[in-house]
Amino acid sequence: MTTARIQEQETALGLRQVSFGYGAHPVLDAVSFNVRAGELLAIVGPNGCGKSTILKLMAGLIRPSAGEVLLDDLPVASIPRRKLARRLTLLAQSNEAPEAMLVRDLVGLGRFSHEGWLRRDTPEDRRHIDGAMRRMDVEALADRRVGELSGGQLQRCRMAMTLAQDADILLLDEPTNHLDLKHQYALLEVARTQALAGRAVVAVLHDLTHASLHADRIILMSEGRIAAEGSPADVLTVEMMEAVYGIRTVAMPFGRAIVHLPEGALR
Amino acid sequence: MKPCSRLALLLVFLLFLAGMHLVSGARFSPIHVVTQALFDYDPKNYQHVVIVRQRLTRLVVAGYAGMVLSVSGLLLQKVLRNGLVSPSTLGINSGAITFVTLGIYLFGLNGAELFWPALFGGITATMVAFLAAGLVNRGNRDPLSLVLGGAMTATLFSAATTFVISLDPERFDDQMSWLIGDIGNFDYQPLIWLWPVGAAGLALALLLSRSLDLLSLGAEQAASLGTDPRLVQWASLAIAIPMAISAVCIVGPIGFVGLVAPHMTRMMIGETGRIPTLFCALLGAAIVIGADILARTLLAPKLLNVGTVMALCGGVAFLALILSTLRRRQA
Repeated sequence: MTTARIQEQETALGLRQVSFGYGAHPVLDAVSFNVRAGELLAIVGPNGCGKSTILKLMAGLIRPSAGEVLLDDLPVASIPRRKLARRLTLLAQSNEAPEAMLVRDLVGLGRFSHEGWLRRDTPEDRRHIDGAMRRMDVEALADRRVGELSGGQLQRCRMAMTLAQDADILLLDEPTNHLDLKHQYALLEVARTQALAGRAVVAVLHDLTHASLHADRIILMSEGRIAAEGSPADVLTVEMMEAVYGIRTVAMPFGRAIVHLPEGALR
Repeated sequence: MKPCSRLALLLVFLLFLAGMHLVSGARFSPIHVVTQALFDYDPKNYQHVVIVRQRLTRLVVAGYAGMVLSVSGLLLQKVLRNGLVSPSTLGINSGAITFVTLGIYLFGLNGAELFWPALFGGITATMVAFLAAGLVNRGNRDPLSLVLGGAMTATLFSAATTFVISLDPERFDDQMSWLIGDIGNFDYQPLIWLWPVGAAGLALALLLSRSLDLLSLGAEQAASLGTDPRLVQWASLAIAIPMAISAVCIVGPIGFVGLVAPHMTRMMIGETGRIPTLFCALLGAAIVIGADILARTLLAPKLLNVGTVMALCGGVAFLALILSTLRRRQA
């Protein structure tokens, strides 16, 4: 997708001068950016740079100490959870799940915000659940108990639950955790397809190669601020790696992908 | 088998147990006498009087206590995401008993009036258990720290109960069987006032069960799926504690059901949606009714305490659960 086309697209979620801190220790310092519908935005940066905190702020789980996170001109933290869940979903970084729950029921939890007290498991719900399970390739696990799953299988089922929620904005916190090589790419492909379908996808990623390969835009964080923002080729430069990660690297482009290897490792 | 059919099967089993309960006792009553007593009651027939005034009331009390204690345990286990908690292992029962003895000793309360000191005691015990758990905190979210806190709380309040009783032992003669946890022949009297607590609690638990499903994924994930985790947590505690207390007021401290019925429910029917909550309620009723049948027939014509029968089974079950928790952690 060209940059020109992205810029035409509407803003799904906006951060305006957002700061956040636990006590006196600031985690984020006046961060501003927009998330646009139809793009996959990757947030990368070293450990403790505030990536996950940004995602929590965007999901309205915590309130900024200054500035605001706006969805349709409303602060997200002030929108009732159920209403917000129909617009925005977060795949949190956790592997807590009830052991005796069936996989199909776990994916079905994604439909909660669309349910009524008695109106549950409608054909519409089933369509979304089936579609999400097919996309994450977990249909074969439908009748298994969550306690029997491997970490990777559980993560795919949780992603399916997130997709079943059918929200326009998807926030993914290190979604490739626990996944093997094949499923890492499969998941990121699904995330990409969601963006191409017009949704806004924000993913916190550890792996810069993943980010370069799948993201339309990358935000590189460093110590609570945005160090660089732009296309993968603009952001993932050797100079930036040294400035932010403090390590000299050699960048090797493979098609869309940019692989950074530590200089020392090549000697 | 579908969850609904399992629920129906359990209902049939419960009705069967209820029938067993009515025919058995110190003296066996044939079924036709039981049906006659139920539908064509003759107050001058001694058998009829035993069946309706003693067995039927015991049956209802046992069923009620089992139902509310197990639903309370289910709520506590789900909301605290800890399979080792229950009204008894958190010390809620012990706290309630202490405040009931105080209510009797200081203010001469009796019957359903004791619900209020008991509720106060239950809430106090819960807070003490959380506080103690915070002090022994063995790392974030170790299920054992809350259980240790609960055990300390229970010990503390048992000692306090013993102290209050020792101040005026004769006054507590009538309460002896209640203090051990037993179903007596006149226990239905407070139930007449307290059953709405259980009924409302069950209805609210059914309404909350879907939100509790979400909460089992962690507070953050639950929030982004569309529920308010804080609200669900407080509401669950606000339902679970009065439910357990309403049983304690009637039958005293009966452990085991609140701990084990939720586990058996998970094994038999899973843990998603409202059906497991209903299943757990019926299963709890069946367990206490079953225990009451045993208590009345094992050493007939001598009666055993239901509380004693349950405590014996409960100790073993609790040990098994702790061992399996420890083993899972080592794995």
